Amino acid sequence: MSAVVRVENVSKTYKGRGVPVEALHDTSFSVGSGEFTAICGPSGSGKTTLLNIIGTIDSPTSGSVFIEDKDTATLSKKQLASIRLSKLGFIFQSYNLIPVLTCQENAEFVLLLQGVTQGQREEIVNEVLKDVGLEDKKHAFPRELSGGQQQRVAVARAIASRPKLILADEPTANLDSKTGKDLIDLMLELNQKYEVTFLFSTHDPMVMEAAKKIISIKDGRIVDTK
Amino acid sequence: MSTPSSLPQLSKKLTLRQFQELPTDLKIDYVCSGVELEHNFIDKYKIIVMLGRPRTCMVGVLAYALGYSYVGNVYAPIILFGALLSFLWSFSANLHNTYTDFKEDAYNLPGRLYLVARLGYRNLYRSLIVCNILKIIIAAFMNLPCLIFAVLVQPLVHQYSFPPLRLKGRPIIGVWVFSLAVVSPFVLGVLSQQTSDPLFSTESIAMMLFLTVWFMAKGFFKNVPDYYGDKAANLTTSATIFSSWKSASIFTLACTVVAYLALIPIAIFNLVPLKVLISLIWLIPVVINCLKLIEVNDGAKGNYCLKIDMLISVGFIITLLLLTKFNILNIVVTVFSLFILFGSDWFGIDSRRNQDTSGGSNLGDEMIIAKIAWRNLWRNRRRTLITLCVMSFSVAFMIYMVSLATGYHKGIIANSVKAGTSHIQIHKETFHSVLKSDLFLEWNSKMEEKMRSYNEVKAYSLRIKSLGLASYTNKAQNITLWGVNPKTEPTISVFHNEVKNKGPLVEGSYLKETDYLEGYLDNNPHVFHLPGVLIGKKMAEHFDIRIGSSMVVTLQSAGGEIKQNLFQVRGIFQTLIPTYDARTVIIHHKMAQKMLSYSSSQFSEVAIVVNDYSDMKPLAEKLKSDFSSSFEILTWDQIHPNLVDFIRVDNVFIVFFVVTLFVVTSIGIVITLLMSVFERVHEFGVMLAIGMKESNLKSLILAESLWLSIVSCICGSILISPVLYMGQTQGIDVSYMLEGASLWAISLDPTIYTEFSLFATLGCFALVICVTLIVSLYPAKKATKMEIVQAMNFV
Repeated sequence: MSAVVRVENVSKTYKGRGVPVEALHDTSFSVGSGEFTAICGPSGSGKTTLLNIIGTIDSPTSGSVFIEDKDTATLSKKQLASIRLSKLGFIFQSYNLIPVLTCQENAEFVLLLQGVTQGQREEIVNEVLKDVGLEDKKHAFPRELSGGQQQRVAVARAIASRPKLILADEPTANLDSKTGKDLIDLMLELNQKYEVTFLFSTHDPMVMEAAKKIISIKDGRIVDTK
Repeated sequence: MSTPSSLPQLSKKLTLRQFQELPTDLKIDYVCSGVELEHNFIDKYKIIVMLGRPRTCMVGVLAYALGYSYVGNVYAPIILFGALLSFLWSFSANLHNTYTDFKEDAYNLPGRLYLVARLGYRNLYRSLIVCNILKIIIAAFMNLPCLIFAVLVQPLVHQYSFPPLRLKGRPIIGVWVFSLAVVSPFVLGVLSQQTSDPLFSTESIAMMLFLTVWFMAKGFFKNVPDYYGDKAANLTTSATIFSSWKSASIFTLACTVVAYLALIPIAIFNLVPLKVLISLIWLIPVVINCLKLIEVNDGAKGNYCLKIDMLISVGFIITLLLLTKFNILNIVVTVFSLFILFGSDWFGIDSRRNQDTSGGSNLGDEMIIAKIAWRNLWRNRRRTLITLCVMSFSVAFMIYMVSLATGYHKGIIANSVKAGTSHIQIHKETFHSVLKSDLFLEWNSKMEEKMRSYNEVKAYSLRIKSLGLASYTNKAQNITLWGVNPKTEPTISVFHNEVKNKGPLVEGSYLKETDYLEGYLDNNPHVFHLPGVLIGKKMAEHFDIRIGSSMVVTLQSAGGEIKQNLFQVRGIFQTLIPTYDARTVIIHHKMAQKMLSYSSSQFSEVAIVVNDYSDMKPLAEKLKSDFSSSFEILTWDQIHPNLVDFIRVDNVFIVFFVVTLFVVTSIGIVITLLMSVFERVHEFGVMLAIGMKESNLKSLILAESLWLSIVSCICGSILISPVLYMGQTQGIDVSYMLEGASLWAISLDPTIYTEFSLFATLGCFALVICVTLIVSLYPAKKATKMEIVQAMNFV
């Protein structure tokens, strides 16, 4: 199985006004294509930092991240934006939908940025909204939806662009257990259907249970992989 | 060509997607196999319309209107035929291109080739034949020159893509022939002239050359999106002669900028009105679009740039048209063109539709950015409404100030013309500065005939002017004597009008036809008739003279003799210029001729009023070339240079005022935008995280300010409309404020009327939009400077 993402000796130190804080220390691992992987650890262990670095929205102090064998450290800002647009999908803890766009427009947004033609966009968005069970809510604005529904729209947005890797930062943290379970089932289903790789950060046992591979992290160090 | 394994596909009824998946050669084979997928009669016509690409035909129609603007004021049926012919000119050219460009389209525009498959390529051929015949019939209905032009030039235009010449394969000549798509309708417009004046003036030829250069640049642009397709088809075009897309598009950018700037020398040489240069504001979006073309390096995205270029081109030529001649015809053509342009997108009647192109495009980028920007504005309704109110009132105030100044300045000119200055004066050389009676001109029937032949002349009258002395009892006064023809003078000045008719005649009556006669008239021994005289109120007060009283006027004749005559005061006039009222004396021209020893054909001045102020300078030029060089031909502004200077200074103040007002307002805009940016830092972080480019984010902020400025321009215009209407119909009486003032501006009518000036208003809009965009650059830069993670953690 080829690696979608390869993390090699990544360290990250935050230099605030006080003492420098090491969020990640010499972290290395890889995620293969089509995997459903969770990065687990307590709060402050460096999960989100790791996900941000993989998602190219943050940069490591040292080490490298390869996305489909491309070293992200060598890429310009514009090229990184292009990688995020074409190869990565994001699901955030607090949904982060664009409040002024409807469900359909939110799901369509990345496709628009990709320059997908109107006909294709309509086709894809209808399909993904059907996948997440929100085809009847496509004209609703985020404020009109429940937390679970908003997170489903976020999943639809992430999956619509057919990325290689979806990065989900504690996607169930703001949801009740029933909704969280439904969301995990949905993501598993999409993982099968589209063969897209999922990489979570979580401390939710339900997510860990569903994950095919778990990377445990503590104090910025990987302590276990199973 | 087709491979044996793919041949069975040719018999199938393919969908667009299946067709797009065919190899390039097989696509052509499929179309040429004679398929006719569409059987619905109406849909077939719709496809013909799509292939004719109406949105691209409107530039031709606008060029026709522009050509007609140079020669015509008459609304005749020929205009309708001309507009239709101009439309068909481009329409049939597009059909010809579709018919000949299967190979290129198989690569560049497979969607268009699929449309041909739906229509049937034989039907396409039939439709272009019908189109050509229709053009000839329409040209025949117009006039002979149009028919000859259509018959001669149409085949050349078709040789752009048709064999044997297929000139599109020759980079420069090809692009020149392409420019005929716009130049030909322009020429047709000139040929549609309804009068017997010479067809082509220097001005129209200059514009024709400009359009050639301008549309050649469009041709260079048009070839870039087809770069890879034309390369694949081994076609040598202005783009494929370059080694890369980038070089071809940089060349296009350079040519485009030069083409637009070619308008400047034309304006400098007075071949187009100077105000036409306002249309160069379109150069900004043109350059941005060209830069985008350089960046995209992709056929489909290049086609999108081409689509934008077409929009900009239409915007530019509309501006050019309305600035050249602002009349009902041109407004109708503009509205119709915009309707077709946007309607063809709305109803999907264009063969270069986005979904038909070979790849993806960023068609939606601007749309989604505009949509998000619009909705963002209304997240904080109260703040947006307050900002909009401030901006709208500023816009309204700006329009009002500009309209007031325009009306005021126009009033100055109108009052001055009505007070006797007229638009143009003809004298013997140096007469205007010395008013010497030996400087007279001989007026003959040839000159009379010539004067009547000018379309620009509304009315004219012959006058005699001289310096002299008026005396009454023991008082005397230096005077400027006007000898006027009581029959023709009222057509160019208003001294015959009484106060109740808003005229200056406050007492008595105007001169009569007989006011040069002297003696006992009609053998009536009881009434001795004296020649009549009109004097100003100041003089009447100085002399303490009344209507019916007699006064003496003394002049020095052309021969140097001193001549005196007794006149009876017929009327007293009053302007708001005391010196004018104190020194001007008006008598019958025959009496003046008699006193100055002139013959009946000798006059000092020909005063001319033109139909439209814009006719003044061209007519003066004509007069200079048609009349003797010993004449001085003076236009209004040369007669009153002090007033021209006054208007100039006033304009400078207005510009300063308007700019200051809006710069102050812009501070409010910066604050609003900054607040709104800081409120959404987290959201911007998310957008950047999911792949939005920084440039898109900047565009979003700029789009918000653009919306603000557009909405405030609309609201401001609506707000001020009733005030402008009142000002235009009722006017503002300023006599009580300016009592005792000595101004030509209010010499006859102390009411200032507002005058809506489209160009000044558009200038205000341009200022508002530019200032708003400039000030929003700072918040836009601020938004994109943040690191994504920091932005996403920003609360």
